[in-house]
Amino acid sequence: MRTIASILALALTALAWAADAPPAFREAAVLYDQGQFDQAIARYESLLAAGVRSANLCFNLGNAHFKAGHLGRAILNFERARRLEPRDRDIEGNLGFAAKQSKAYDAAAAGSWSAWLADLRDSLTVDEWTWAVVACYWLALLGLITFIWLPPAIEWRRWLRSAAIAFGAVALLSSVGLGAKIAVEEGPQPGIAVAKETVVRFAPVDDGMRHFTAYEGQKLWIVGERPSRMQNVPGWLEVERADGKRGWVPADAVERI
Amino acid sequence: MDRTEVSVGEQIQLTLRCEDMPSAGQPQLPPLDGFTTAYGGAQTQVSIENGVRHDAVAHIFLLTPTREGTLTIPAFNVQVGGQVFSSQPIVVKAVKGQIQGANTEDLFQMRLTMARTNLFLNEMAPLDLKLYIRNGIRYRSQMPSIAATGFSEVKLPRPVESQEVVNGKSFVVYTFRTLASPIQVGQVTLGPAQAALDVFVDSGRRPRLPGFNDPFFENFFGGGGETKRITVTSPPTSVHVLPLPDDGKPAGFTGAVGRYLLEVTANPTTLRTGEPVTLTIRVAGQGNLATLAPPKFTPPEGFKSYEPVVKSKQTDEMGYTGEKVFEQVIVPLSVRASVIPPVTFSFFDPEAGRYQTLSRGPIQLNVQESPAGATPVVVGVAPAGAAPRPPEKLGVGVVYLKPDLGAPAPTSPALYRQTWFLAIQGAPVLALVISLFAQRRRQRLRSDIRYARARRAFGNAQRRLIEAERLLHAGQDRSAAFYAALFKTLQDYLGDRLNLPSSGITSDIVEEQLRPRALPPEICQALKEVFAACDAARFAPNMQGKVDRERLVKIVREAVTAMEKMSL
Repeated sequence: MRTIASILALALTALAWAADAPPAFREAAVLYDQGQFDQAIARYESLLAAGVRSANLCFNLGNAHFKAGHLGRAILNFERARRLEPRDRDIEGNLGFAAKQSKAYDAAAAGSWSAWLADLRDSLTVDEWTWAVVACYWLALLGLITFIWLPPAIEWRRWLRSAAIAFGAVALLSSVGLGAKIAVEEGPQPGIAVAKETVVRFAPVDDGMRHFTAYEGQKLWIVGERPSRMQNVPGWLEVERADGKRGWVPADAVERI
Repeated sequence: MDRTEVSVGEQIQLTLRCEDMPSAGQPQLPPLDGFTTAYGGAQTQVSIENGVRHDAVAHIFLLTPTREGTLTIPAFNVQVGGQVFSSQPIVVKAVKGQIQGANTEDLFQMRLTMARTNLFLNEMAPLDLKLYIRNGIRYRSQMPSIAATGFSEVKLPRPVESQEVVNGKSFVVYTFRTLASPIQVGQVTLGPAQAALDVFVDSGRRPRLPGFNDPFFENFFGGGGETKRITVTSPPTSVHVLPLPDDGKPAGFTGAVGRYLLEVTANPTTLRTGEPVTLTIRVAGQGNLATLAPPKFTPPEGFKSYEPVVKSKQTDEMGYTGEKVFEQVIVPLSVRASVIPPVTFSFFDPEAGRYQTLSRGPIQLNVQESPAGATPVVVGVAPAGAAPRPPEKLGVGVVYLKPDLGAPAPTSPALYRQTWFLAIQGAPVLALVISLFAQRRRQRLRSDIRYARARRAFGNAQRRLIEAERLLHAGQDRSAAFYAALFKTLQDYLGDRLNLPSSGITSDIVEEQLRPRALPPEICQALKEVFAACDAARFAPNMQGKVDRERLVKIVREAVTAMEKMSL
């Protein structure tokens, strides 16, 4: 009972929070409408700094960055918004639109099977995948338990068994999706290149041999890190491109999603 | 190798130089006994001698000895275009503790260099500050600062990190390239520059640093796990600063020193009175673009003017070379205001040592009288059915802002990481296992009579014993019922356990079935006694002497309990 009460309280708080947007959120929208995108960005970021985090906030911040000409940060924030609300069509639309502006956009890769599977995987959050697996798993096992206890004479007992097997199969399929999602969550963190062009080098030094160029808005996976040893100077991140090529970039050139 | 004598744990640099081997790729080091290795990148050098191009690539490997002794880097091969090139074996002596003769110069250095030593007042000149830190030292450095009295504020940009070998020693080098501009005449000193470093003092290596009494240096490579702050200081550098000459100073000179070009354009040049013209003044070149004032422009009579706005500024990283664009809006108020006068810009050219004045213009405008009133243009509506509608072209762009914050992002860890959630998932499996066992048992109870009787025997016996006890305390007149209940208890229990008809169970069962099944003799004897007492009570109640009936109940209870633990 106490648990239900606390869940209800949490839901009501969330509703109230959503309905009563902080002043900075409203001010940012006004500044955006006036074309003062940098000030709008500052307002949105002040909310993030205060610990406020939601898909809509990231979405609006992405919009402000896009209008201000910061394509990399726009894509970064649309990606962040999509992680929180993976099926929001506005977020999907703006992310797709912004991604197409990037020099790194690969139309062929975007329409490939692997991209389709990745979209399917990312259509649910990791918690949603978990709930999908758990719901089917519980239904399958409860169906089997009921089947065991029901007298054989009951006609719909066989249907119950079939339904339990079907739920079990869906649970197994969902667990593949969940596994893929967890692999992404636990694997190398994805990041977005935020500088116009970043030279990716073989070694974490400024005069290291050039390997390839990462363009603003390009998705890279962060596989290693070398912290900075100089104040106000970023360290280095070891990044991997979609084709598996690896190299080092200054840590401020790529931001984690 | 940058050196062949090194402390254990200290990094040394192996450089493999490939000359005129453009397709050599990255060579691979063989496994090195006693070293850990890391690839530190490559440096490319191109030179042209007598019209012939030479390419050289220096591949840098960072080696760290893991034990003391004489360690050998064996010869290894690099294959290029089917040809194999071999390196020479190198012997490295790794010792515990610091190498004799080490001093701070070997560990940290800072150098401050001005590109030019003779400058005019306000002239900008490139400045290099280099911080050298010996490879293998663990540190975190603060941003350096430069004492710049007599100079405008020197802002240090983000440094470039590289590797450099100085006197055979390998250093990490941070190069800060910026500009400095003197604001005093005479001999002006720049510097010293200072940087504070937090150096992590490694453990396990004992220092032998001659000439350093500071405990830090004594413990620099020993002691264990502490951070020590040190300050690295560069020598100052001196610059001779000349004043700007008074001779030939133009009237509109505003202090710009450098070399510049001037471009002036106006748009539109055909307009009506009251309409704005944008005058774009572009100043490009070398100098202090950040403080560059707009060129002098005074609109003549008949023009209304606004403050110029810096519209774009493009410079190199140091802000030394680039351009600055000023946009000034002017509005001709009459048709007579048809000429934009020349725009002039004066600066001092330090290379030529004299002032220069650039002038662009005048620009002729075609200004017509504005009509008394503007008639709005009405866009007509096409008559219905006149022509088929062209296919609709949808615009593309970003969707507008969300009106509210929406649902807050979850702050707790993902469900799959929460122990309570994972623990709950065991419940249905447990329920299924219990159900399977229970169902199996239920089926066995239905199909296996021997098993079913054995399972219920003890419970039935307990219930009957309770009934017997009740009869025991009910009085002497219930004696027959008591013995009947006790007898029935034994009959049913033994019948169920042995899967025999209960009605046929007599005292003979003890010898025939129980004793061969290794029932302890004392229990057998006790059971026979109970059977005998029951028989006597049933068949010769008057012949029965004084019997301790409570003891009989106790015997039966103990016998049932003992038999329950046995596999009969």
